[in-house]
Amino acid sequence: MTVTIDKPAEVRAAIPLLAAHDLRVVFDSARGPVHAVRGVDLDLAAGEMLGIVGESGSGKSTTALALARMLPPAGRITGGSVLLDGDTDLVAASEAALTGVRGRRIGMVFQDPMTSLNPLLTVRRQLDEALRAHGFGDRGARRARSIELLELVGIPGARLRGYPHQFSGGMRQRVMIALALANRPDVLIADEPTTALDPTVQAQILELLDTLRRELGTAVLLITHNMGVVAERCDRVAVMYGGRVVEQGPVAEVLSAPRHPYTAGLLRAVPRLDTPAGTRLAGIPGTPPDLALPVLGCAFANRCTAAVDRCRTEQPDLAPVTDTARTACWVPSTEASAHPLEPIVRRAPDPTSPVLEVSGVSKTFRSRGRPAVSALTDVDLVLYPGETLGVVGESGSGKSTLARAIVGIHKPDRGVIRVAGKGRLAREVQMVFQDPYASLNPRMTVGDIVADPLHAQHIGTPLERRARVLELLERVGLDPAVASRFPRDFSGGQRQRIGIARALAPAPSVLICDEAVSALDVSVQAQVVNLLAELQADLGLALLFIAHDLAVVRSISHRIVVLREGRVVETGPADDLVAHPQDPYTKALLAAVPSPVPAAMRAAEAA
Amino acid sequence: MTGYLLRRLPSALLVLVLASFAIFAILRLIPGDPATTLAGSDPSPDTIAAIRADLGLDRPFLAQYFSWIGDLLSGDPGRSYLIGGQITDLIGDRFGNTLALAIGALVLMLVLGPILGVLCATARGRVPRALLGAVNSVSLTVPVFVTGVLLVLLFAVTWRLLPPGGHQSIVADPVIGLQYLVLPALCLALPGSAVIARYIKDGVLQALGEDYVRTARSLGVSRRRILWRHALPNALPPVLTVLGMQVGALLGGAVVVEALFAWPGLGQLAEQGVARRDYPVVQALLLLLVGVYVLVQLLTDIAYALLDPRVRLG
Ligand SMILES: Nc1ncnc2c1ncn2[C@@H]1O[C@H](COP(=O)(O)OP(=O)(O)O)[C@@H](O)[C@H]1O
Ligand code: SF4
Ligand SMILES: [Mg+2]
Repeated sequence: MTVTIDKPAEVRAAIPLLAAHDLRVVFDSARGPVHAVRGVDLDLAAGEMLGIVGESGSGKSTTALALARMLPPAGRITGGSVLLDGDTDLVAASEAALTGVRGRRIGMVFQDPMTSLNPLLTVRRQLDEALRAHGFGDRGARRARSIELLELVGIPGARLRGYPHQFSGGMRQRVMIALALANRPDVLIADEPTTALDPTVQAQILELLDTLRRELGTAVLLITHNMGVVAERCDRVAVMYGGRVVEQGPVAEVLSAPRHPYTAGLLRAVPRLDTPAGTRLAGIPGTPPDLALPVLGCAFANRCTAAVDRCRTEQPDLAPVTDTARTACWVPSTEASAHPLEPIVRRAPDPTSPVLEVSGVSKTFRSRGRPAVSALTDVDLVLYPGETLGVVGESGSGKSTLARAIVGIHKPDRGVIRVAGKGRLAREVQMVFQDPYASLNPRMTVGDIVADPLHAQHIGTPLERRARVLELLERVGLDPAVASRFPRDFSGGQRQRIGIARALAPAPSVLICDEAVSALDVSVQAQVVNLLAELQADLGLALLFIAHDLAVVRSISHRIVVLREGRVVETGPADDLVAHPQDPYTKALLAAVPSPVPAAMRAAEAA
Repeated sequence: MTGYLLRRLPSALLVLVLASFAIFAILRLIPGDPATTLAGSDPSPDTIAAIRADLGLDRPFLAQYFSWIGDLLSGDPGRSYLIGGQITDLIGDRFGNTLALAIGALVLMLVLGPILGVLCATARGRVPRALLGAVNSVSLTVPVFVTGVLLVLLFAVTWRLLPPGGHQSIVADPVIGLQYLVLPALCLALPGSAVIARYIKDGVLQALGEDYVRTARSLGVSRRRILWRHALPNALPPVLTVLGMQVGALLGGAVVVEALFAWPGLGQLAEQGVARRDYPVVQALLLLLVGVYVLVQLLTDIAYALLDPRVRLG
């Protein structure tokens, strides 16, 4: 490593490197002002890694952007300060001063590496530009530094001349990190840098950030919604809810003894790899506050089981609860809240005759000018009535191709897919898709959406269909009155419920969920997973549950199949497979899952 | 790249073949006959028939078509019936003049369009934005002959800066030649510039909201550089497509502009040819137009590939 350290660790003085105080951000929107950040206090010391967690919409990204005054045109800072080195207030700084700070003092890494690099410029040009922006040497020096940077993030210097599209997602994120580090900033703000990546790649990127922090002394603000990532990588954590920080402290302390009811709920909702199959996930009922409306009192009050009268009228501020941790709650809990594992009521699958049989299925995609891709090779699997079969594997491993082959969208090149039951395939197998936003037609009412498969297959009279729709909506936990409304009125979790109701409409025997909960926040994810488990028990459905989150898959599945590059590498009962993986690939997948339990606590548990 | 172009070749040839047939057929479907015009006033049916036989117009349709194509392939587009002379000679000089006009207009379009577009995209304040918008819609909607007359009134009559019309060879005398070229080229370029400006504006505004612009900003890259190095290049690919179409419109507009500015180009020749049903002349001109069009499309594709590495490198 040839990179020198600008700021040695002993500069870790009492003054924080970056400190936000009472930061407030408002967005102009069609619905009026949205108070996305409502008084955030944060501080970051040199060389430390601070995690920010919270549900989507809690204001994490907005806070991150506001720290460097990078808000989009619709947003503006309406109050507070952001002190750099304890003296420069970035909120009041001139645009010219900010241009000097961005990249040089504060670097940023964003969530989506696919769109964060300019597709028309080579990596070399982009690195060169970043260096030039802060007057780094001459052409030769910049080139040498660019190669050094690429190698620092684990990319051979020879790839300098490549274009972004020639790199994989993980590699692009490395390039993004190289860019952000080009001018040796003291602070790196990383907004969900690994959310769009596969778990194994995710682990590599986090490892890289960790190494850089240790070796360069860069302070890292890591935004994530993954508690496991926080537990494994961060020194301190700030939990955000409704545009405010509700709890802040050392990771070990906050994660093992959360004082704020929201933190506690969030932790309970996180599926843990070590929870046995068939365990009910604990969601947080209700939905986050609408920040376009005024928030009175504690934003969490309508979802909080501990709420008292005062909570609804007075907003709690962050106040010390221990020497190191602060919480914004009127009645912070005083002891660590253990939570008992609650099993899901499930039926045992009926192993007499399979409802779905996939044998020897292969599928190759050919397109002109590209090598053929074997998406599936000799895949065998069986699914029994009342059984949940989890399918895991990295992106590109063939999970979705398998799902689409089963519902008949792709015709396999070889092999057979048999579905038992009287009806046609189109009726017996239904699918719930990943993206609850894209998979519902925005111009149809919820009622029409749910009735769609009934129409398509000429099932029932209009009156019968109507009755069925109302019954289904109730079944998935929605008010039947929503039938006349449009998808845009619903949150991600609610839309996924609508998708499930639609899939259930023709009374299928097999339900395929392709990453159906992956885009949801943990608290909502837990609700949807529990709903699926209940539906299965009640209706005797067979469930093919595809996801990349092994912990969720274990919690809901009876058996798990591991796919790699289109082949089944391992299959077995869920608990066995996770506890005693046989295939090295399965082991690698499991090892890449960060555990939400801080290392110190795990050691204590084991002792 | 070469392979990519070779693959495009068959379809380009097919377009030319189909176009040649369509041009040939349509001309003969339009009422009017060159023989009648040639025969003078009050001709006898025999005279007309004789002239028709002379010109070969009495032969079967397909035979006429194939002999035209045969001649074309051997490099001879034939003689004009009515204007007189070899078509190669007729087109010769005028082609150069029209080319000069078209290239002049294209260059102006490529300068004015992006500047106007970027200004529209970045203008702050209501008044500048409204003004730019007005300039844009006026150039877009006012017909070429109106802007032509206005330009002449302003630059040639009121200010006497430029000649009101006529032509001097640029090759012979670049300074004088350019003075004659400016007004007609500007007149021809305005509508296309406005179209390009609109696409650039939309493209730049969209690009400014993209993640890679946010990345550049987070690295401390200046606003100006972000605009010219990131936003503008990313706004260009869709502009290329319209640019290809604008070149077509440009050739159409040339007919009007040449008449307006007494510019001795192909437009004038086309006008005369159509008026007198001079089949060989009109056929040759239309086919030339299609040829230029096909070439422009190919060039657009090349430019596309040069601009976007994802197209170039797959
Ligand atoms: N450009 C925008 N216009 C209007 N509202 C926005 C905009 N960006 C974010 N918001 C709103 O700000 C709030 C916080 O969003 P965000 O910071 O993205 O949260 P997180 O990163 O925690 O998911 C949300 O209510 C969101 O709808
Ligand atoms: S302040 Fe009240 S409502 Fe808010 S988290 Fe604490 S107990 Fe719950
Ligand atoms: Mg975010």
